Amino acid sequence: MIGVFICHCGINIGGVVDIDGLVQKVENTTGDDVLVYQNLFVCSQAGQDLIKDKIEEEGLDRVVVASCSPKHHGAIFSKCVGEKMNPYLWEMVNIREQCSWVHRDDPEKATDKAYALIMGGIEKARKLQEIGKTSVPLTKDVLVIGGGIAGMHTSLELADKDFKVYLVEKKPNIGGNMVRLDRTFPTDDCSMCTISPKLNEVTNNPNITLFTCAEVEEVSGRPGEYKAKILKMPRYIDEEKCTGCGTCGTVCPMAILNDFDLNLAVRSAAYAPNSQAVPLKYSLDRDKCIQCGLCEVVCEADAIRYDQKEEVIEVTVGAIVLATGYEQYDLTDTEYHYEHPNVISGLELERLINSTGPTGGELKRPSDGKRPESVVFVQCAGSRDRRHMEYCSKICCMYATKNARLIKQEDPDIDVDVCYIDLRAAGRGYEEYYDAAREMGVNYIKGNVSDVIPDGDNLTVRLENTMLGEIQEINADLVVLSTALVPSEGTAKMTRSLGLVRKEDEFAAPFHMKIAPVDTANMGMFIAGTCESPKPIQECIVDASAVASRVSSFLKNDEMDIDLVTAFINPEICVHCGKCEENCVYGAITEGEDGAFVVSDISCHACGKCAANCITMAVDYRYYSDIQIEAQIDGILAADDDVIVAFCCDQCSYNAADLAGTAKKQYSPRIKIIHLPCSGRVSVNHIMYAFDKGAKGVMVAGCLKEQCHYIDGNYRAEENVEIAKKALSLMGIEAEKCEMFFMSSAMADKFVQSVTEMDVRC
Amino acid sequence: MKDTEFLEDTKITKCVQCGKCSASCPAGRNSRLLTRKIIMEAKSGMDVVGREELWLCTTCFLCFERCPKGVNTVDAIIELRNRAVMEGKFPEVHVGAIEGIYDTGSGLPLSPDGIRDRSMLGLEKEPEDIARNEEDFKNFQKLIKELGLLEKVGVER
Repeated sequence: MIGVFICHCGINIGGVVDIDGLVQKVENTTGDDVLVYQNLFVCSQAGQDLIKDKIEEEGLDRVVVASCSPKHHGAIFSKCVGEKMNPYLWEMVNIREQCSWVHRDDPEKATDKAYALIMGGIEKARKLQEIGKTSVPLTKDVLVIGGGIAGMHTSLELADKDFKVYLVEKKPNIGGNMVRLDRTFPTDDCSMCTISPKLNEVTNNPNITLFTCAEVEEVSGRPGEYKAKILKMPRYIDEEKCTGCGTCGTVCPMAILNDFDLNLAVRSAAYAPNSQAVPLKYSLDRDKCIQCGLCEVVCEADAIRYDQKEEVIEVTVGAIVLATGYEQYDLTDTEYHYEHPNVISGLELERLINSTGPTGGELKRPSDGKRPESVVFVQCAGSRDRRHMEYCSKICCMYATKNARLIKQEDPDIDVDVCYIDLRAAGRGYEEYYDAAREMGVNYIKGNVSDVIPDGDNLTVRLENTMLGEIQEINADLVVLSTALVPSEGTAKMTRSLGLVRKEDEFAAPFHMKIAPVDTANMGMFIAGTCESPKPIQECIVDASAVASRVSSFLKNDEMDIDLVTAFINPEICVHCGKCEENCVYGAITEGEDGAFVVSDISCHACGKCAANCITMAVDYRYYSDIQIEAQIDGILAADDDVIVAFCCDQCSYNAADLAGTAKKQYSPRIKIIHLPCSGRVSVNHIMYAFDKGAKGVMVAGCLKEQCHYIDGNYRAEENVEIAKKALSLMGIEAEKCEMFFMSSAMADKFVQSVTEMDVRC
Repeated sequence: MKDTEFLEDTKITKCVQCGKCSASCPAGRNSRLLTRKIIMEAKSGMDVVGREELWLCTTCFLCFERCPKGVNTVDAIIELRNRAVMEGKFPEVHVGAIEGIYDTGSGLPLSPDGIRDRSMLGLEKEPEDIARNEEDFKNFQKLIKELGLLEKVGVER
């Protein structure tokens, strides 16, 4: 018995789709084994009770819920159905995001589409099987990557909850960008004073093992038991012995630009990034060291080790936290002329007004050390700009306001202008802080700077004062660019090597922006701080606390249940070719004793590439099995003869389609989406099956290239689409009726363009 | 072009009024042309077709290149100029230019100085252009006539 529960979602579905008609049509075209119900909100307690009651009363053994996206309320229904029977014996049909919202202009067609989708769901439901569980042990230790404020606070919170933490920092010191700052908005606290206790706590906490000058080189394993290789680069100075006295630095004859001071000052080859660095351990910059031996002579602790080698440390952890932060966007060779010495970034200004900075906190301009009489801040330099970064970098309005205030407080005679497009001061105390800046004499000019024009050491800033409608040219001794914040090199590298989903802007993507902001699509991996998006310090702390909480929930038991939503191989059909092993990037498939291949239930990520590319079809899935996919195609195409089948990946295009729905973008109701775990799950057979059953076209939509959640599923899909095109040509069907598309989960427009293109072609 | 089409094609609804276009504009810097303002007024449905400053744009495309939101600023200005011509609103000085184009096939006909310079450089007396081929040139003139451009600007030929 199959129970079909159709949701009105208030007027969201009910306002477009004729639910009464739909119920009747499903009832009329199915047998006695299908019972159809409707409810105003199936997700409500009453709706859930209806499902549970009917399972008991009618002896339902399959459930179909036709409502919103499974990404929205899938978990609720899974739990609800799971209370009465195996939680894999139900199917969700998306008639809101992918039907009523996108075909609201044509209620009749929307109703027809909802009917076809439900029929697909019913046929698929008939083929669903119970899925069991297995238990695997959980390692309690945690790896935190990045020792900035977010990574440090995460480590401290976890250590406080008695987890052992490995904190890995690439630089010789911890504290990230925050230790470079002078003061912080909106309280004007000294940044170092705020962070200093934490720096010391991190180095002293017995639950935290800190690796500086270290990077995570490789991560393997599974959620709950990841193995990480940490590469610790040599300092050429024995960390245990070094007392941080700094004598080596004073005798070292070399002078090298100091990266910590953003190259505004010099340091020796034997150096600590600055005098307050934690841990205060020196390093030898061997690229610049001439091995004169002076440091070795003067080091009383006998800590110099010219022959120190890099070390590889292997750790096993249950969870991984990414906190690799941001860096500044480079505006060299643009109309802002960042390459000019007196055009600096906000972060550089922090060093120039910081008492531990190269000028001892006295504001001087880099080219000639002159005290500037006029300073111009250029907002949105590289942000909110399609040529650079499209997003707002969020913190610039406030940090520029802060620095403008600090300059005015120090010397009211300095002219300070802030050129802005929109001034964004949303946050507790921010508006008041901005008001006070105006009172202090900071001059805010509404207009986007078009050019910074160098003239010797001086600069002219040109913009339209849009309030006056006049072009203005302001003479400036110093120009401060509020440069866009972009993912740091470490963020870019680690999101790739951990296989995390990235947003279009390359920041790490949370599992859900609103309700799972620090989780990722990879179980057991979490994100904190600015590796996710630009944000102020307090939000990094909130992230870090949230991550610590999420990690402790994840690791609370000794064992973790894993649903066996995995691949399996039928040894009777397997011809031992090994293609599945080759296709599996997780090493989940190995050759068994008798030559047949076997799948490890624990390592399998359930992407589907192995099954889609098995020449004898010996590999299949327990969920999203060939038979289920085909049944869904049968159901849809029996109900509607004018269909373009869109195989959509769970990680990207399915979400893009949902987003198109949320944005109420309209497209052709001929498009019928089949949800798959990865575009790599699509086999040539699936495509040909759809055409055979009468599909007018088939599209496969996978993740952007290089961004497949399962590393290369989208490439496998592309290959299969190419093969299908050739097969279609041989059969006299135009190859263009089958196409592969690439998009991220944020690209609703790309989704609509793609389906519209298919609609035109087919 | 309909107004909805105009808004879509030029993407001027994306404009955030930042002024990058006006400040970048080499022509506007020393004239009354404020691209941002024209865009704002056009977006608001104001009648900007009669504005003389529309004709100050040199279509250098710097505003378009720099626009952070991807507004097709130059397309917008050209469309507004097209509308201006249709309504007979354009600066007198352009009448001569249109006469020149009709008579010689060139917006900037070769001057005696130009002819002399070319001969000094050993180049042919006249460059390759529409007027060299009699048949092409006739077709060209026919095209201009059929477009009704001459009547619009009050030129009799």
